[in-house]
Amino acid sequence: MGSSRTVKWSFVLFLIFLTPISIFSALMIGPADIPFKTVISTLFGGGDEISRVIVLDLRLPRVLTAFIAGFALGTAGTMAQAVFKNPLGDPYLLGISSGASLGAVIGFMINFHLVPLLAFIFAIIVSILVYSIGMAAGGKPTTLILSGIAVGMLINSIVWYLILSLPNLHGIYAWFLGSFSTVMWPQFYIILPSLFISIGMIFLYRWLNLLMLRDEEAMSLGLNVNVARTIVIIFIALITAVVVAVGGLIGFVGLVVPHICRLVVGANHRYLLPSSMLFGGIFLLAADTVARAGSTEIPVGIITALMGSPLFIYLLVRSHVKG
Amino acid sequence: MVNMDRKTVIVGIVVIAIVAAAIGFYAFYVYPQKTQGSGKIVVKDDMGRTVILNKTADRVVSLAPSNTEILFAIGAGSKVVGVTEFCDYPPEAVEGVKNGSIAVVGGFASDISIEKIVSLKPDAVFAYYGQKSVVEELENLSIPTVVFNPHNLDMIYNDITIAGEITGMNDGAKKVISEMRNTVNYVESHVANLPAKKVFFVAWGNPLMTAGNDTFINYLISLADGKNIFSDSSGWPTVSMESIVARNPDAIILTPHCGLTKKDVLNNWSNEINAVKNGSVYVIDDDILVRPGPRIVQGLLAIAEDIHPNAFEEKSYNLEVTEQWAVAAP
Amino acid sequence: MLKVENLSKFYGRKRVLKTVNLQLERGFWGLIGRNGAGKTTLLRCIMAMTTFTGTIKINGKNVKEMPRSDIAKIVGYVPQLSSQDVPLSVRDFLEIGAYYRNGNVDNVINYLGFKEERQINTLSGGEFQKLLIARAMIGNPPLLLLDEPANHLDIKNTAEIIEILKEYSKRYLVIAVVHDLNLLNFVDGVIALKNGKAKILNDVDSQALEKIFDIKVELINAGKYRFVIPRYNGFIRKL
Repeated sequence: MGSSRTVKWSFVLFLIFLTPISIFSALMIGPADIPFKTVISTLFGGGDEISRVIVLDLRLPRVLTAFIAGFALGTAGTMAQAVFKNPLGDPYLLGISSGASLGAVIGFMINFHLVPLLAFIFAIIVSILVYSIGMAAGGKPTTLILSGIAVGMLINSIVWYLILSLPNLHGIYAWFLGSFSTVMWPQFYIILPSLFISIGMIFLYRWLNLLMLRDEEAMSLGLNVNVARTIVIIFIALITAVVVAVGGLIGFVGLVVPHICRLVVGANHRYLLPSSMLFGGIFLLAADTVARAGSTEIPVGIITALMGSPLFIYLLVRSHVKG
Repeated sequence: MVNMDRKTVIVGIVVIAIVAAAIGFYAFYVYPQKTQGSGKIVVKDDMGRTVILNKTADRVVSLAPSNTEILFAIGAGSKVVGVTEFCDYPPEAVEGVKNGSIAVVGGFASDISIEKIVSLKPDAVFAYYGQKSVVEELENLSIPTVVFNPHNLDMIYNDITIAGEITGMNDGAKKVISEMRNTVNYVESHVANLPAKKVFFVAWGNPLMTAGNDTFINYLISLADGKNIFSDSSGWPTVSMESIVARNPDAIILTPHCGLTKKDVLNNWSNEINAVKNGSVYVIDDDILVRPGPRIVQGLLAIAEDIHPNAFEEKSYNLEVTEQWAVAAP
Repeated sequence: MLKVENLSKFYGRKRVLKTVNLQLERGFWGLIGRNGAGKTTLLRCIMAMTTFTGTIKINGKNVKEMPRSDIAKIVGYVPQLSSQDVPLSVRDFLEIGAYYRNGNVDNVINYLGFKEERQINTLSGGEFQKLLIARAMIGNPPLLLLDEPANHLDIKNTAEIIEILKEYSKRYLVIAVVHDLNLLNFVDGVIALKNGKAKILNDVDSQALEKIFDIKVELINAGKYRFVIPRYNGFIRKL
């Protein structure tokens, strides 16, 4: 908690160092038995045809996609907690989860190739709706949250009604829990922009630091709070909608990763934002590696909760005992 | 407090045992015999429940598409007064719903209307596994209800026999069963002694879901001399492309409603998969693969013809239209 | 320095401030008035944190036409409530306050004498209040607005803060909302708000205070200081 700047920067550096290691390790693991050496030689242009397919066409895009999704959710979660001034802040609060669910259900009804596109479009539409209602009701962080909950309840009732008429429930349930099981290079290119947007968010760390204070404090310190909040919310919606379109509703990462990092580096977004994005990426990559390691897949959202909750509870209790 | 000596106790036990045996004998042997003699129908369904009807049923309700198919196949179609909204075969059933002679009583479980069923005054109801609460309610209303839950072909034959007994269509039932046996024999005689082909069945395309060892499809694949590559799992597992590539199926079976088309698989999946390399990707209507009714043997035949194309002189099953269905599927 | 002309502020249909006119140059000014008299609203208007009619000029510049970041450079503000529960270090907290200012955080930390890595949630109420005032003073803004700076503070911390403000007001304009009327002993001038009107009190006598606070008071002279005591009897009888 009372760690110095050196400690905070070393944590960020440690995560930067850990990123390539975790990506390399994840590439070694999978249901197909490919020896360590073959994976390495395949990565550098060698390997037989089958290992090239498995390592380069299947594992590599999936590993990178899972990392980017976690990276983006960690970023969006940190931004959401700052902008809502609320430890329960979650990128999904903005109506993104309910909007994306509606789009996904409609996609599953028509043709599931449309699921990513419809999930993205509806996530954006519903978050605009939530934001407009929140602004009409005064634009305070709490009203935005309440607006998200109210609109979410409305949309979810429609979603559940539509689910009843779906011929196959497996697809939509798997989507609700989040999954990267069908990810190949096309999905990687869809999610790639969220990586760049997330990195760009580092430049907004001053805004986020001011936004997490009280509104009048932030204003008196020179921030145009309404403009900054709107821009930050737009980016949260964009980043999250892209991730949801590719991976479904992966829970936990956006909510808990920023908390875990805050316990280590504190609330200053100069350290918190890079830590959360890198930790989110490594965390989701690890979870997805567990999800795909066996002969059959486990929804990654279940793994994130199973892995993250104990870690989070431990850190929470420890920080209390120490604090 | 009464003090009983040991003798009294033994005598008491013997008397109770004799009375119990007599009641049991009557209930399980004499009563059914009597009822049979008196034109009563006694059947034991797939859940082990004994169902007794006073006479052959003239009005029946089907609560599952497979039940509807069985009833129409054995010639009891004119007795069907109620079906579910998923009962889309045979065309006579659809026609009946259209012209109002058959009522729709609901979907699968919680959305089935008991009130609607009662209003149809059925003599018997054919339910399916998973409709427990509906069945209990019908029992309370004294409507004879049989529950089907077949796990293999013999159980399907048994279900068809039961349906024949209840509707008085015993000959129709026998005919359907012998036709089904003929198809199975035809398949088995052609695929016997062939090396088993590795088969990947796509239950759903996103995420990729397949059928485990406790599914009917797994059973059909092995009957057709195939080996489900995911028979080491159970239920409907989600699988990764990597494990499909690693297990390298010789044939891939899609359904029109799985969301993937033959073209999707041939164009987008790795050529390292034998099935993709050889173009052994087939579409089979899921209705004949998953509905445990008379048409299930057509599913078996379709699988066998697809995975062992050289074993059959001519192909009787071909589903080319499905390429369009995949997009228009509800 | 600060020029307020015909300032009016409505909350819905209720007019909180009625054509307030003020012109202040420098010194330590106490802002008094009953709860709800519009003291905080007046400060918020000066910072252009809320809409209002009329004009407010600081150093000749209309605050309505200034971007937020420019206002932050010339006005320091100490709010009634701040976010002490956020896990930030003293240095983080001050750095955040300096984003839109031209000032040196290191000097402030040295001046405060706190360890820069100390978490703000471990500070006492007095220490945190000093930190807030220090943050508001980063870059030496010519106008310093404080909303009840001595609230909840013990006598030592109150004295220290008054000293800091007095020192600062030698060069700049400081306006502080004051509820403890005894602190008026240390200010250079008093602005009173009553029924939406602002008035500079040239003489803080019992008559003026009674008019502002609707209660009988007694002034006790002790050397160069005067103490204000409310007449509890009269107050109770009135009830």
